[in-house]
Amino acid sequence: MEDGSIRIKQERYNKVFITIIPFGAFFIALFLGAVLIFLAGINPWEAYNYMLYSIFGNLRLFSEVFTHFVPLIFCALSFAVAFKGGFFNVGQEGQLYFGALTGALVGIYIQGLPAFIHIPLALLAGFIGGAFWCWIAGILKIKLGADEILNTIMLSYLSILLINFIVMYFLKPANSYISQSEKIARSAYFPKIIPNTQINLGVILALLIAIIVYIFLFRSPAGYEVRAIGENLEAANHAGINIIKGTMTVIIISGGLSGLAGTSIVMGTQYRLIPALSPGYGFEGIGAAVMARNNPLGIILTTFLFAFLRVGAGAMQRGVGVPLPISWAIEGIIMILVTASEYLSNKISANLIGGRA
Amino acid sequence: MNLSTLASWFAMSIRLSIPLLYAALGGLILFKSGVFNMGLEGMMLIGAFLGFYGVLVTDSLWIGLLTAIIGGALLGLLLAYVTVSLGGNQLVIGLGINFFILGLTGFFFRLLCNSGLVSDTTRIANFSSINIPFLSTLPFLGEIFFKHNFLTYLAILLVILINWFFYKTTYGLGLLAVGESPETANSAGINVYLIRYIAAIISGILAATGGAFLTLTQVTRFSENITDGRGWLALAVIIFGKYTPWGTLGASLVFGAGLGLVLQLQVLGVKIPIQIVQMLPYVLTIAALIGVVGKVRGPSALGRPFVKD
Repeated sequence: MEDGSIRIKQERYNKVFITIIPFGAFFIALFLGAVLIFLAGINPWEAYNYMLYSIFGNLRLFSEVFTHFVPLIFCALSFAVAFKGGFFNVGQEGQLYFGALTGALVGIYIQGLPAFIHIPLALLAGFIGGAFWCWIAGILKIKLGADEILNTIMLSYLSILLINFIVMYFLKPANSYISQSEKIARSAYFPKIIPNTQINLGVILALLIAIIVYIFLFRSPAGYEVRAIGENLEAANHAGINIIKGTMTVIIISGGLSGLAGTSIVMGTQYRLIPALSPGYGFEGIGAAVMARNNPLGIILTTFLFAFLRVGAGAMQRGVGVPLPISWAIEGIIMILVTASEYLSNKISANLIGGRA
Repeated sequence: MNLSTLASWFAMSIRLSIPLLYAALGGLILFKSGVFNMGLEGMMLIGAFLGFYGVLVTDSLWIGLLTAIIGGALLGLLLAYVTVSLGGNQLVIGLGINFFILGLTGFFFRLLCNSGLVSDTTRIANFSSINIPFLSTLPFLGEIFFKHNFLTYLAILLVILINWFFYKTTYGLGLLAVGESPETANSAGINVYLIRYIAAIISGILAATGGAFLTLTQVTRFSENITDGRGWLALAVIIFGKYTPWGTLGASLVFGAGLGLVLQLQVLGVKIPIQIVQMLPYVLTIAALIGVVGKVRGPSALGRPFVKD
């Protein structure tokens, strides 16, 4: 038997190492981004400096980070919960749109409620909408064995087109030429935390829910069962865990979280339903979740980085002429690097639990 | 709708289906070897961009096509390295590639625009249609089938070739075996890693060719995110085609006809909701996934990394 204290030290060291990997990926990606900026004939150091100064020196830009942060984190959490439970939900984008629809309907057509009832009601509707759209993929998997990866993607495109159709033919006011719904009731607006900025109730809600998801996954019996299913289905079955119930739980939570992403855009920034609601938050959220290795607390940080990059890229474009798409390139590199380093962290965690591959 | 409208709709459907067919065939080869390719969208996009860029700089369509192919092959290599050698998550790497390429092509395209090399009116040369002697003069059929560019004919040839490769050659059967059970294939002396690497590179090449088809034959220019979800639609094609080369051809034609119908309806000014028509491919694919058109079975080892002891 080896000395217990050395073992614990080793484990702690390994854990630290696993945590460092995503940051390594982040800095390598930033470096490669710098190479791109250099190729564009712009001084990368100046460009990045400009990004930092403009965001931290400008309350409007800083608050814009949170406009992206809120929907992104819901999508990232949605992916993480499902992933931990062995359900590969890649349909965040579509569930986001469906949640936006149901949330917006409650926001538009239910009038005269006080805000403290209207807001939770609209959020609940958004959660149910997203959960419903994910549930379709779930029930098709459980009842018919249809692959959820492909189904959630197909359902995503379906949802975006469907919402587009509903807005254009049913929600658009008759006297309007623009394809968008009417505004939701004032009582369903997220109240601002800092006046004249985008920092609203959604930010607090998102942080709170990230913590709740963490507690659910890592500190609750239900979360333990869910993770057991995700790690080894057969072992979980042998241990007497109700697989269908556990899978359904993550499906509902995962879809619901994506739904909240859509609702939060409607209630926090757009105040109405529009066809181009999301500039790809669904896929971007997956990136943030991957970078955090699906840890809800880590997701808070990685999502902030992603949102920061996006706003920062916009600032760099206006200020020093770096083309905006650079943020996607950097995020893509992070995803590739973190995925590529999986074997490294798997090897380490294999040592951690005693050589089990 | 008269006969000539019908003929032009059919011809248009074929043209629209070819990029899907290339990407889907590329995806199919890698799927059959047991590896997911979620990066089809990015691979098409790099092909579309590099094809455009190559022609813009050299004025040679062939160099454009070659540049596109090299770009696709490199992405295939990257995908293979991360999934096969490192055992990384096959789905996430594809999504990463898509994001990376969306950013990269957008970045360089905007630089081209800023530098004045490319403007809204920039058009590049394109592969022109080859009228097959005699056959193209046939009434109705000539218009539909025998007045396409060489990439279209090549795509159909590839379907035949890949079908022959899968089911009639040793290497093809080896590839199928790897996709069903890499462990068994390995003990039978098949090099699982090598086959998956080659499949991934071919996958990238074909998807990039599909992307290049967009810029080098259809629109003769590039715009950001020009593929606009076609890579995902190609994924749908593979499933709706039940993971077979001929099925893939059939499915791309069906989806191409759908895309053509959308355009045709818009031209004719028919007032039906376009979105409903656009939804069809996805509805059909979900129907296929739940077994409405008979059992659709992917390779057994799909998505499972293989670790050699």
